[in-house]
Amino acid sequence: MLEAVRSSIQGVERHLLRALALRLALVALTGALDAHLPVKYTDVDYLVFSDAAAHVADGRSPYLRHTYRYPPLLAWMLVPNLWLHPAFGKVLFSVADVTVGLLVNRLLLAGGFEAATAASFAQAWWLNPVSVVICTRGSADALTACLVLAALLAAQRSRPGLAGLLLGTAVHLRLYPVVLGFNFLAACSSNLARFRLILAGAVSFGSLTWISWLVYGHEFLEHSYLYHLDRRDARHNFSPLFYPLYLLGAKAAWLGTLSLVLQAALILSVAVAFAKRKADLPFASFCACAIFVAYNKVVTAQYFIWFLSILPACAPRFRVSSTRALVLSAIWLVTQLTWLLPAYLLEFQGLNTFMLIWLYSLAFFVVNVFVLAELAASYQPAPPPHNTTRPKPRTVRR
Amino acid sequence: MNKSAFTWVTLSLLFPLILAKRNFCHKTATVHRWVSQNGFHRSLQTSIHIPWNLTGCIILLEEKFPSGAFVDPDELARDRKNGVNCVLQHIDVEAFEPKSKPFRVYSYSMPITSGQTEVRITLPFHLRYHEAGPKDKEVVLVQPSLLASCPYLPGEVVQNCPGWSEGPAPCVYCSHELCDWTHLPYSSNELEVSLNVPVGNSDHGGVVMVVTAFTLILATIYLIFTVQKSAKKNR
Repeated sequence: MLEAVRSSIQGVERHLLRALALRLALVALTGALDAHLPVKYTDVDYLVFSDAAAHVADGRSPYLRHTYRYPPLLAWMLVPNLWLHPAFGKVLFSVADVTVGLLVNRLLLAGGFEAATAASFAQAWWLNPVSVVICTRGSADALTACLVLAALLAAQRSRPGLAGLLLGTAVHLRLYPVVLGFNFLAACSSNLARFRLILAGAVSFGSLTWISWLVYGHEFLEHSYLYHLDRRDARHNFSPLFYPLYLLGAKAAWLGTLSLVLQAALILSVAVAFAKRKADLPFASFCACAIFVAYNKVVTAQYFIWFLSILPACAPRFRVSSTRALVLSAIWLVTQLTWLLPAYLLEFQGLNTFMLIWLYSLAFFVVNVFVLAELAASYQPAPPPHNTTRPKPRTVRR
Repeated sequence: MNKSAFTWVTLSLLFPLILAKRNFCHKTATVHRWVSQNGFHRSLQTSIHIPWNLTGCIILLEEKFPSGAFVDPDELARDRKNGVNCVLQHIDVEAFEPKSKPFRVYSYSMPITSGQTEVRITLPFHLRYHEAGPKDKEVVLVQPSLLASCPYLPGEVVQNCPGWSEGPAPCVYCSHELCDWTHLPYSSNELEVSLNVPVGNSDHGGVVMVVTAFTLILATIYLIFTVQKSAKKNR
């Protein structure tokens, strides 16, 4: 058994290297692609990170770069973009993305799945075109996804302190993992574990935030956190909320509040239903992230990594046929693509497709909810632990 | 030499110079402008044909941008191969048109080389989201100012012709200090460039808001019901 696991892990490492090679090859090509394409391959955000890193390298604040809305830690990590190569950041994100697949593999093994199953779902992540494209375009979300999955693995292995440290770091980088806090707490087996989780999370988040505040002061808080808490971007994006906010401005602000309330109610509902056992924590976390993204006032493609990265870690527990899984994936992808066309026509051709974009945003939201509901309906929770003794039914002798 | 001979010699020496200056001062540059690309992300192309010998001097194009368009200073700073484009005031690249103000963009050429008669300037810019309304809006780029200066040739000035004015503009390159630049006369195929900006239809606001709210609520009820049913089934 151990030999099978060891051999499977070695097989996984071979696939990991291939996945990394695929991503690095794509990174190497992006420079050439960008020089010739009217719509650039590289994400605009990557240019923002790089410019912020350039400011940091010159001893200045990264917040001198317009639209840099991240903690300074990210800009510090990308300073080698200036010293080594402009694509260093993309390489870093690609390594993080590949590590996500490895963590999926380890999570499934820790959840009691066979080595072959764990390897298959890791490969599914490594060959997933969405993750390949998003990380090679220069999105930093793979870093946060890595930390979240590592926290899930730590929780699975009953190490709440480590889970808290990782989760706190993830929240510092990107605010969204905070929605997973309730799930992690619910899955803790004792109050001591909960205390360790909260303490470690507070230490990691608090220390990183305190250091950043010491160096950059209020502009760090304003751009990294306060901006996101009150963000109301009425430009077109996947969220159906963009259009009423654009047309009506302050008169539609209550929609944002409504969305937040419904989001919170759903995340709580999922935590109560699925987060009581740590083996089900990945699924509860997947649902929480998917709900958070679907109901957010602003939704961009890179946010999909937040829940897609957790999906392979709970997918083996879905009781769906391959055909149904393919159909659900296809519906999800096709509605995305139907949104992309009118969005492209508006932004790059100047055609007035606002109403179409909103209708497709609405359709995409409905599809997200439908797919999530289907997955929730088909989810088979983990079996209870083997050392749980159940009273045997009494047989009555006549 | 008698007086009249002296006068004739002087005039015959000065005449070519006077003629040259009249020719110089009567010439005008030709400016062709066009906007490439469509949608919200455009590029303003300007081709300037200069009929004078301005070797070593620098051409400056001062564009006055309306509140409905903007340039990204970081984008301009990244591309300085063929010239320098810059703004000297803060630009909020995310603001919508009603909350933005007009501003000026300065496009400097590289020093003119010997024999060079054309200067080409490329300026990437973007259209802002405009307030929703019943029909699309328009953004107009008015005619620019064409200026020249010779900061790298001490003592040299662009020819001072009658009718040519001088005015202050940022020194090279993108300095916050002002220097004197000579306004060059020019003719152009298009003095103003007009661009269409699509906007959301404000007449649909009510319906869009109500439909979005209902969809959110119904989807939430459906999801909560499904999640609770699944949890009950698995207990």
